[in-house]
Formats: sequence, structure tokens, C-alpha cells
Amino acid sequence: MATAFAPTKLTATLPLHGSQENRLVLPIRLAPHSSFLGSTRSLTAHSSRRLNHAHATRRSPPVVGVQEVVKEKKSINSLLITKEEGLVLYEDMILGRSFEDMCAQMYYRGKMFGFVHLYNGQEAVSTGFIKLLTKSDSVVSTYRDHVHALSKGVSARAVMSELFGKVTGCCRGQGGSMHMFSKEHNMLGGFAFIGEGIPVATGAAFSSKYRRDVLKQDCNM
Amino acid sequence: MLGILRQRAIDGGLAASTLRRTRSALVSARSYAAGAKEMTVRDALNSAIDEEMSADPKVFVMGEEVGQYQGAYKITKGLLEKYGPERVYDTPITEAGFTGIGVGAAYAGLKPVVEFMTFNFSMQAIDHIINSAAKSNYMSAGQINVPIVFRGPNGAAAGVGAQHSQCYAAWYASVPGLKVLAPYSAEDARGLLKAAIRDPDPVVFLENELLYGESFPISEEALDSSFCLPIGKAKIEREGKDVTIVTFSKMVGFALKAAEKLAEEGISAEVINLRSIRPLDRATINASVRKTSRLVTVEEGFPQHGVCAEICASVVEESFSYLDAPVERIAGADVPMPYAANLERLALPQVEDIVRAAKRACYRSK
Repeated sequence: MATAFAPTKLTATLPLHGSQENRLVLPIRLAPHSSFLGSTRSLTAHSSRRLNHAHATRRSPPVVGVQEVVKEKKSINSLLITKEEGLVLYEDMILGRSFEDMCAQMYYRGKMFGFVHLYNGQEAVSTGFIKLLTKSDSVVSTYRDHVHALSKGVSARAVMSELFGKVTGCCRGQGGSMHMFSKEHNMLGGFAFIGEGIPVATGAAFSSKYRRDVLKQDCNM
Repeated sequence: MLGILRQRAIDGGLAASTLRRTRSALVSARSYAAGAKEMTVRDALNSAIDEEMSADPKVFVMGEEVGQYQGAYKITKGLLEKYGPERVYDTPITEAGFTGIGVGAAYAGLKPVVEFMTFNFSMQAIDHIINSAAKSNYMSAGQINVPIVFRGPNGAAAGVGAQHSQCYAAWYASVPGLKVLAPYSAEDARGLLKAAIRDPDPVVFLENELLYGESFPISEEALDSSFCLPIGKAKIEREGKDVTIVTFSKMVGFALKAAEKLAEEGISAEVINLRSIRPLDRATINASVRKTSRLVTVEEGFPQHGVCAEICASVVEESFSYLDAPVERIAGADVPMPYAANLERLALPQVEDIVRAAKRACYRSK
């Protein structure tokens, strides 16, 4: 996705006016039915048209950007996300952070046991990648998998119950911290062994190709 | 080993408390041993490696976190400072890599001590353990021997989940060319590890994470730097005449507790600590069963094709006419280890299970 889109290239052709300093221009409007699909299709299809349009008319920016409050920013940031999408991402990251903080607390109070691998500080990775996916896309994780499960859509209650070993957990307390599975959300597990998930993920990706090419199934859902 | 201690005690070489210690349960003997020392299994292993490294410069240690971190379970504490980074290697996280390197070094005459953070991770390196190490002496018709030790915690810990809790005793003990040891007490740990490092063949040394911190009384003889236990000899931890309980590693402690409970009900149980899974001390086991006529075997691992299955088969083959009751097997549940604490407790043998099995063995003939 990053290679299909270069922020600097777009902004060079779209300078900000003085009256619009406090509103950053987002030349792309993403498909409204999806929750933050940073799909390259919409970028390449719409971007050039919108650029030309904006360049020609200069009447108003096509989309309102996220950083409304940052007036001092001199550099022109062409952000890919709307305010709503930004809030979704922000909420996901905050959820991940507060979840892991609570895990740490519970662990040190002796309510959780065994291994706990925390994800504090890495939330942007989980949110940034997993929020690009749809429900039918799969995620294969490592042993540091709580926040991956959360970003993928597994309810925080189910993950926390799993860590407490309760039957209401996403794996009925049988898996534990390092083994978060969810068939509904296509979370194909955390794995304890280092690197264990990589071949497994490759296999899951292979199955997608196989379904499309060999089984001739429709994979666009 | 027991014979030597008994002999010394009779000669009056050791205090009377030592004699009592060898005959009663090690756990309860702590109250008797007034002047005797105690040692944790962790310190016993550390001192064993330390002494063997100082005695033989070809011995070196490698594994994850064995150096700067002082060992994931602090077994190799202090070794990096003492022997330097040329003999204590912190490896990257690649079991297949560093196990292969260790085996290659052993081919060329060095004596590596390879640590697996748990034996679950040895599955990543099992090709080297079995194919490169175990079979080489045979395949080369004796030209190559592999004096390597693979050691690390084995079996269930506390709440670590399915991928961190498997017991590998049965898997490794089925392979000709390997020796498989499983210590219980600090004395076992010291004597068997020293024997393993000195042994010219590949040895799989199965420790137990929950035993590392446990203290056991240790004799002066065991503290000597030339102390060594013979590989392939089981130890009779507690003598009895009604039923034989055979087990290894952490389950020895459970069996001794079960024997105490059975003694209250008038059943005198003999507890055998295998110490060596391969070669299995069939002679001691069968002699004991011929004495008591009943057998209960206990292990933590999965039941099918387990160590207990082999012991039962051996006893049925060699001492069938001496048996008064069917042989009993207590093993872990036939399920990947669950994470939840209550399920984990149910999936592992407990003292009550051993007591129940021993009672079943005793009443069946009546």
C-alpha cells in the first residue's frame, strides 16, 4: 500500500491556501461503506481526478482532514484518513493500551498466571495493519497476541476471560495468553514458538490463492 | 549408590542421621538431619556444571540466555564470569542451529552442554538430537562418538499452556543411542549431571522447573567434586512390602507423599525413583515387584506409549507369575495441557490418584 501512494508527490501539486491553513486537504475520499479500507484501488482511481479538480477550481477542499487543531504545522500532510476513521484507530489503540495495562496489574496481583507477553507501545502496529483487514481476512500472531485479537474484533471481555482461565474466554480457558483463537474473526492463533506462525500464515494465504484459482470460489466478500 | 551409603553407615563412617535419611522419605528427613547440609536442585545443577567445566577444558555450555542473563532459570549462574564468553555461549533463538553446532562440535571431540529453555523447544532441534547425535555411533560403526548433553526443564510447569508443558521422556527414551536421565533430588541432579557430562554418548537430561527451587538434604559425599551416580541404576527411595510405586522426576515427591498416606492405612509402599529412563533399570523394578507382587507406575506425560507403558510391559513379561493384581498406570490426561489452573490440576496426576491406584492394586486380589 505504501508503494502505491506517495504523500509528497500529491502534496506538491496541491499547495494550501492561506485561508485554508487550518484545514488540511485530503485529496482522497475513501469508500464510505467500509471502515477504513486503505485500498489502493480507490487511491489510484480517484486521486488523479481529484487532484486535477482541486487544482483547477480551488474553491474548497474535497474532504476535511484530521489535524484540524494543528495550526502551527507548516509541512503539508496529506493524510489518508478521515476524522471518523482516525477516531476508530485511536479507540483501538487506546483499547489495546488500557487492556495491556490492566493485564499487567492483574498479573502482578496474582490473578493471572503462566506467561503474559504485553504489547504496550506497539499498538500502532496492530491497529495500523489489522484495521486494514476485513472480517474474512486472517491474522496469525505470535505469543504477544492479546492486542492482535482485539484489533481483529475479538471482544475484550472474551480475551480477558481467557487470560483468567474462565470458560467464557475465547478458548474456554484452554489456550491461555499465547493461544488466542477465534474462528468467527479469523484469528488463527497466537503461537508460543518463535517464528512458528510464519509458515502457518503462508499456508493460510496459500489457501486463499487455492480457493480462487483451483476451487474457483469467489473470494471477494 | 544406596549400597555404598549403607556400607559407610554400617562402618560408622557417617552419622546415624544419615542412615535414617537413606531409609525414610527424603522430604520428611529434613527434620532429622541436624548437621547435614541442604541444597536446592538449582544449586546442585550449577555446581555440577561448574565442577565439570573446571575439571575438563573441553566442556562448554551453550544455549539461550545461559551467559549474560545467568540462565533462564539461573542454572548457569556465575559461569560466564568464571569461564568467559569462550566457554559459555549465548546463542540466538534457533534451536535447530545451535543444537546442530553442538553435535558437530561433539563429533570433533569437544563436550558441549546444550541447554533448551524447555524441552518443548527441543522439537525444533529433534532432527539433530536423534539423527545427528543418537544414531551416529551406530551408523559409523563406533568410529564417531558424540559426548554431548542436552539438558533443560521438561514436563508441566504452572499455567504455561499446551505448547510449554509436554513431557518428552517417552519420546527420547524410545531411541537407541540416547541415554535419558531424570533426576529428582539435589543429589540426583548433581550425580547424574556429572555422569552425563562425563559420558561419551549423547545424554538427554530431563530436569523439572518446579523442582529447581526445592531443597533437599545432601550428603558430604555428594558434595565432593568427584561424586558421580551410575547411569542406569534406579534408587529405592522408600522401602515397603505391599505395593511397588515406580516413577521419576517430580512424581517421586508425590509418590512419597502417597506412601505416607498409604502407611496410615496399613499399606507399606515401596517407592522407586527411576533416575534413568534409558537404560531402564528393569532389574530393580522386577526385583521389587517380585517382592511386593503389585505395581503402580506414575508419570506426568501422556498415557499412550508412555514410560509407564514400557515398565508395565517389562514387568508383565518378566515377572508375570509373581503379580497378584493387574499393573496400574497413572499418567497425565490424554489431552493437550489446558491453561486454566483448575483444568491443569485435573490433567496431572495428584497424590490422591496414586493413593487410589495403590489401594486398587492391593484390594483386587481379595
